[in-house]
This record gives sequence, C-alpha cells and structure tokens, in this order.
Amino acid sequence: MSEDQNTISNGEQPKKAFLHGLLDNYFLMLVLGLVVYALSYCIWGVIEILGTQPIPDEIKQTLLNP
Amino acid sequence: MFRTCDITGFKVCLASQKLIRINAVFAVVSLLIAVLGAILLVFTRWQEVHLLSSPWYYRILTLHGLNALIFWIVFFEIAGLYFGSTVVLNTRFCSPLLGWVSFILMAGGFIMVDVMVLQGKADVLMTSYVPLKAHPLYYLGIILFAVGALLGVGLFFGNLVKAKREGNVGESLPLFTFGLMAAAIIAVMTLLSGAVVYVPTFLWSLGLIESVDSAWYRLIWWGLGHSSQQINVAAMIAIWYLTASLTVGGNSVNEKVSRIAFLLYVLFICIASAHHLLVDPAVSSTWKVWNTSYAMYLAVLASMIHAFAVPATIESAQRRKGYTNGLFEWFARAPWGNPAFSSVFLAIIGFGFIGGITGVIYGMEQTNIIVHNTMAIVGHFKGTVVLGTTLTFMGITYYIIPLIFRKKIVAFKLAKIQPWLFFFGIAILSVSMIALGMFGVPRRHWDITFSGAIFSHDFNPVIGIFWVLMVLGGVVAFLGALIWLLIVVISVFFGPAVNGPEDFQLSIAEPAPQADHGHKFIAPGTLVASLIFMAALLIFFFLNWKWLSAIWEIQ
Repeated sequence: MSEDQNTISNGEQPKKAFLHGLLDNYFLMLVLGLVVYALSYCIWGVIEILGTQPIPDEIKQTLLNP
Repeated sequence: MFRTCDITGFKVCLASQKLIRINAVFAVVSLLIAVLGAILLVFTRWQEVHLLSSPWYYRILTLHGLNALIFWIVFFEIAGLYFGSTVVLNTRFCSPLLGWVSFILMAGGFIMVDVMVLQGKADVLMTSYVPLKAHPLYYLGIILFAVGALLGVGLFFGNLVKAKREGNVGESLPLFTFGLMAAAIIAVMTLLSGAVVYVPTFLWSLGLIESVDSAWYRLIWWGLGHSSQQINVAAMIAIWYLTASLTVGGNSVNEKVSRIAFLLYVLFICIASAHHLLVDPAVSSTWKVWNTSYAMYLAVLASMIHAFAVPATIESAQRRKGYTNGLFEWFARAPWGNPAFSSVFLAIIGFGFIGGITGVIYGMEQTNIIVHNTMAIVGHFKGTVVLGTTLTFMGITYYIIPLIFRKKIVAFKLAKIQPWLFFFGIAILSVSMIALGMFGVPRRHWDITFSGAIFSHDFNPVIGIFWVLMVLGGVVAFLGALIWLLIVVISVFFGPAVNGPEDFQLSIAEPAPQADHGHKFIAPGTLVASLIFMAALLIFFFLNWKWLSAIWEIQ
C-alpha cells in the first residue's frame, strides 16, 4: 500500500498499517494470544477429553481387583 | 523519587529499584536451592554412587524442578519486567504498594512450597499429577505464588500505560521492553492455566471435592508447566537484544521483523504444551499434530528469526566498527572479556544447537516416541532452560549488580571464566543425557537396575561412558553455578560500592556508527553460521528417523 493510500482524508495523520497497529497495541496482542491458546489447545483439548469413551466396567473391575 | 544513574543516564525510580532488588535476591536464593538439589540428583542417578534413598530422590527432584523451573526464573523475570517498564522507560512504578503485595504473595508461596516438599508432605514431583496428592499447603503455596506473579505482570502493564501517558515512550516500545511485553503476555496465559488447574486440585486436597479428572489435569497443567518455559524464551531473547546493544552498540538489523517474531511467540508458542501429551490416550493425533507442528512451527520460525537476528546484530555492529576482515574477525574481536557478552553468546550457541535442534525433533509425534519420558527430554530442556535462559540471566546479572545494586563485581577475573565453565559443564551434561535417553534410559527413575523387581532390563553397556560424562558435566556446571552464586552474594552484600563511572568494571558501548554497506550483505559470518546450524539440524533429523526405523521395523 502506498503512503498516499495510508493517509486519511484530511491528509494530516498517516494511517497505521494493520500489522504496525497490532504491534503497538499490547492489549490486542494479549487478547489474540489468549484466543488462539484457548481455542487451539484448551477448548479443543477439553472437547477431546469429554469425547473419550469411559473404560468398560468389566475391565475397570479387573484392574481394580486383580 | 528518582535517582539519575551516573553510568547510564537513566532516571531510576527508587521504589522500583527496591522491588527489582528483592525479587532478584529471591531469584538467587531459589537458584541456590535448585543447584544444591541438582548435584544430589546427579550423584543419585549415577548408579555407581546412588547417593539418596528412594523417598529423598523424589523429594529432591520435586524441590529441584520447582526451584529451577518456576521460582528462580519467575522471580528473575518479575525483576526484569519491573526494570524494563520503569528504568528503561524513565518512569515511576505505578503502584509500589501492590508491588510489595505481589512480592509477599510470591515469597510466601515459595517458602510454603519448599517447606512442604522438604517435610516430605509433597512427594509428587513438579507435575503433581493427580491422583498423587500433596498437603493442601503445597497447592496453596503454588496458588499464592502464581497470584503474586500475575499481579506483578499486571503491574508491568500498568507501568507501560503510565509511561505512555507521561509521554516517556513514543508509539512503539523499545525492542527490549517489547520482548518483555511478549513474555508478560505469555505469563498471563501461563498463570491463568495455573490458577485453573490448581484451585480445584487444592479443593480436592482439602476433601471439598471428590476428584479431579486426571486427563483434564494433565492438559491444563502443561499449559502452566510448558508455557512457563516460553516466558523464559521471550524474556531471554529480549535480554539478548539488550546485551547486543549494551556490549557492542548494536540495534536489531531489522527491528520490525524482530517484533513480528515476538508476535508469533505470543500467538503460537503456548500451544507447544501439547508436546508433553504426545503419548496421552485422551487426545487425538489430529489435536497433537496441529498443536505440535502445523501451528507451532510458526513459533519455531520466530526462534529461527531471533537466532539469526541477534548474532547478525552483533556482527553488523562489529563490522561498522571496522572489524571487517574475513568472515569472523567481528567474532574474534568481540568483547569476550565482558562476562555478560560471553554468557549471552554462549547461551545463543547452546540454546540453538542443543536445545533448539532437539526441541524441534523431539516435538514431532513420530520421533518423540523414541525418547518420550527418557533422559533425552531432560537433556533437551537442560539445553533450553539452563544453557539458554539461566546462562542469559546469569550474564545480565553482571550488569544488574553495578547498575541496580550499585556494587562492584568481586573476583572479576573469576567472573570472566564463570560463563565458560557453566556452559561447558551443562553442554556435556545435556549431550550425555540425550545420549542416555537415546539408549532408552528413563527419566525420573531412582533405580534403573530394577533390583528386586520381577523383571529386569539390560541396557547397552555403552551407556556407562555417558553416565560418567554426565557426572563430569554436572560437577563442572555445579562449580560454574557455585562461582556465580558466590560472586553475586558477596558482591551484593559485602562488595565495595560503585561511587561513579570509574568503578564500573563493564562497559556500555556507544551505538555503532552508521555505514553504507552498498549491496554487500551485512552479516555474512552469521549466514555461514546459520547454514552450519541448518546442516546440524538436518543431520540430527536424519539420524533420529533412521533410529526410529531401526527400533520399529516395518516389514
């Protein structure tokens, strides 16, 4: 994107590129980091665990009372 | 209240200085406990000596893990966060009272945990996997420590807001503080995971809830256990950039790219916690592969960027000062007599060649199976956390002693040798452990002879030499750590005061002059070193797949 396109209509304040804006906004970085971690690792992981079949009762009893 | 540093010119907030000092002191105490534990463990794992009894082995292993991987680094990082958000930004501490509340919570938690472990009421190892149960005060101690650290991280952000409001910082933070900010964000994710997992576990230990699901516990616990080491990585790399600036006057060869690399850490490094669950039956291969490769490799890319950018920054600055002969004159003429520089450069080498290469390979689901739960994993994180983070933190302490504690470094000649001793000790220890793991020697195991067991296992006799090397490396590293601890403690509490720049034994380099490189590549030596690194990665990659095919023959 050229510098002209980055300038808002009154021509005074240059508009920040998205990436530049993100790098200067640590609270946005915090939120994005939390979202990626929560979705990719925690929530997906918990869904996987909830979907795990419980151990069949007869096997459980065999293990508990060998 | 400020004082103006007569060496750096920084305005140092006195309230912040006190908090930096006290957190740094507790970091050193934690490291002392960790180091004493480490040498006992080395002589216990070596079956020829087998120093500790079985209960004491697991007790000291718990103590060592918590102090080395949590208390030492988090205390130090909190000190670093306060330094980076106040001293570097010429800003007052936003709330000294809350800073002390944070410290008291952390110190109280630290003492509570260590006392419980030493009393034998928490022989649960650092992971404390349920249904292993410790005394409730153990869990409470960890919760207090985590809450205190989280408060400290919050104060770091408060300081940043204050610095911006007071106009002490422009639109962008200095790169060092930016790196610490990435570490602070990772710390938030880490400490929240700790709170989520330890609060119910604490209630369970009190008998208030019936059980804690073990699969859920493992998932969330590693969000704490592994991510806490990623706080280290971001903080350590921030210090690498700072040291390049302090010692040779270098600024990042491309600051924007370095910042993007920190952003990649923030977004993707915490999901690497999945490495620890690669053989866990409760999560699918899709989850494992996504979280340990496809997405996580963006964080690996970030590490590769930093691993190139920091030496390139040093090389570029050195070349601009006139060290332009051949590929490596800049390297030979670097300020090796400055223990902070040598510590950081050795940390870069150790972290990349030992910690980084093994991390990428052992993080893959396929090759991980060769070494999962073996000594090789311990060897890997000795390469990252000890050779990388601990050596870096040791190095920057040589600046903290005169600049923050206002004391001269005692036995300065010894301080110049110390990083080398520690580096070679840990490197030998780490490589030996990796070799032992490749031969199937398990980690966290008191007796690999299985004496008295109903089954036996014969290891390849060649492991004998690696045990001896491991002990040798452990002893050398112990001496290196002990020298550092003595230098720090004697300097801080009994050393002569720094009364002015004439007492400053290190140096703060002027910014390297600007130079027109024309079309020349600014860091050819670093490029060659990077190619050597890539060749080493490929060789080790190939060897591990070959090893895997030999173990699991498919016909």
